[in-house]
Amino acid sequence: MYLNIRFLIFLLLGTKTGYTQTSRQIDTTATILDTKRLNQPSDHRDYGTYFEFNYLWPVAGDDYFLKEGYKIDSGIGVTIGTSLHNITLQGEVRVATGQVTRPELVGNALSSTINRYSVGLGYVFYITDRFAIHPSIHYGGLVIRHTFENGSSRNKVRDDGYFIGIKAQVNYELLSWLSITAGIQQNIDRLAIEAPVEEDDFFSNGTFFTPSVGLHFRIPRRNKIPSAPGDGIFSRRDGL
Amino acid sequence: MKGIEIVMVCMCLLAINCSGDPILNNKRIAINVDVLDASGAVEGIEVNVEIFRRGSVSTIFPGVSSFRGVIGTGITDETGNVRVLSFAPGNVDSVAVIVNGDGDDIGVNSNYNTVFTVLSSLLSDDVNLPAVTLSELANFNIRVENSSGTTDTLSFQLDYENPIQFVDSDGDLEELNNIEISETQTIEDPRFEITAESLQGTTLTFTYELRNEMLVESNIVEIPIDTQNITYVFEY
Repeated sequence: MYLNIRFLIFLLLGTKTGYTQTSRQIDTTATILDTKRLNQPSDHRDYGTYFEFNYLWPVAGDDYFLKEGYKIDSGIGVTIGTSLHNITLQGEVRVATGQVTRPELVGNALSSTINRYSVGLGYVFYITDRFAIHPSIHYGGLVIRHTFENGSSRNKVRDDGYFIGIKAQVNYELLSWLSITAGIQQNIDRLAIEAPVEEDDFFSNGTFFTPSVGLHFRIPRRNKIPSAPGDGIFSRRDGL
Repeated sequence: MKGIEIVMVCMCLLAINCSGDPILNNKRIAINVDVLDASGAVEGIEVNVEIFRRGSVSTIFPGVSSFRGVIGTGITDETGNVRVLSFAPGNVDSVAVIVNGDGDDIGVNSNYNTVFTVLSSLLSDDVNLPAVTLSELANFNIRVENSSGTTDTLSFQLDYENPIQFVDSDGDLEELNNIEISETQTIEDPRFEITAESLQGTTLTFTYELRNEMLVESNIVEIPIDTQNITYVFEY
């Protein structure tokens, strides 16, 4: 019920304010029970909140201790974002793990977890009704937790830093509330590790390239709809 | 009563806060060492940086957790040099750079002994240690046999070089490198045998006394350990 009503409101508002991407005809009168529209390319994509769940394949750049001394496993990313018109603002958490393969280069940890927390700003370009390209820039914190064997227990040590990144993602809309995504992100890492001069750059500066695939869920907006008297049909005449 | 509880909690928190981590966050160090033997540089020797911290014995204030582990490791190159990139020790009781082994696995290369360099402090994050000279290991076997059937009591003592050596940060040998074994032999036990490991190029000292009611004989025998396997038989 909410979805239908919201959908109708968007159609009306979108037409009124000129947000629609294409010049296709939109009925200004639609019935609440027009459920068929829910599975069509959404017209209210210009604003709203969304979640994304991504599967990541991070690859560290050369001359970086996370590249030379680790085997980085795949990771996961969770994004929550909001869009206004085509601009998106997002918060993202990405986690990947790595096994130490060359302890002589990076210290004798067993494994490490690479955590990234970032905010991002992006813009959505709609190529077709269902297909969009979404570039964004990101800035955030980077925390690497190292695990050590200590008898029967384990200890953790951390390295902290920050990163900036650019991401390009493509979205294909399957349903009005669900899209599949594929993206690549390039990060520049700056870690606050104090190391001998010879290895300072090796431990402090590096890059990360991360391809990803995932799912994008749009959260329905819950607008307050004024009750419409009569036949259950909204139209421009109702002043919406 | 409530005031005491608050004080206890505060002391606990203080103890935890003061304990510090055994390994420092956001820090790495490098330790450089050359490893030699009698003929020169030795390639392929494992070098480990190990830290140790005793835990708190108090159950009331368990603020300090124990830790023992290797935080850096490396292998010597063809010039005998290794630069070990390691995590940095924090609040610990001791830091040891162990050549040819670690605290659990002594003598990774079974031809050589193991040398612990015990560091009292790290003055920089790029430490150059004095060269470590490894010695080749030797096995000795001492057999004591009462072939004469005498009822005299034999007391003897063995002194030999410990195959695990401890040196300080200047490369000087610590005093505790010698091992001493003492034994008193009686008629009920006419044969006795000791097998142990020492270092080639050192000397094993066998000191003995034969007594009945008074001293019959005593002597010091020096046995050079110049090959990989040494056997010495003492008959009386």
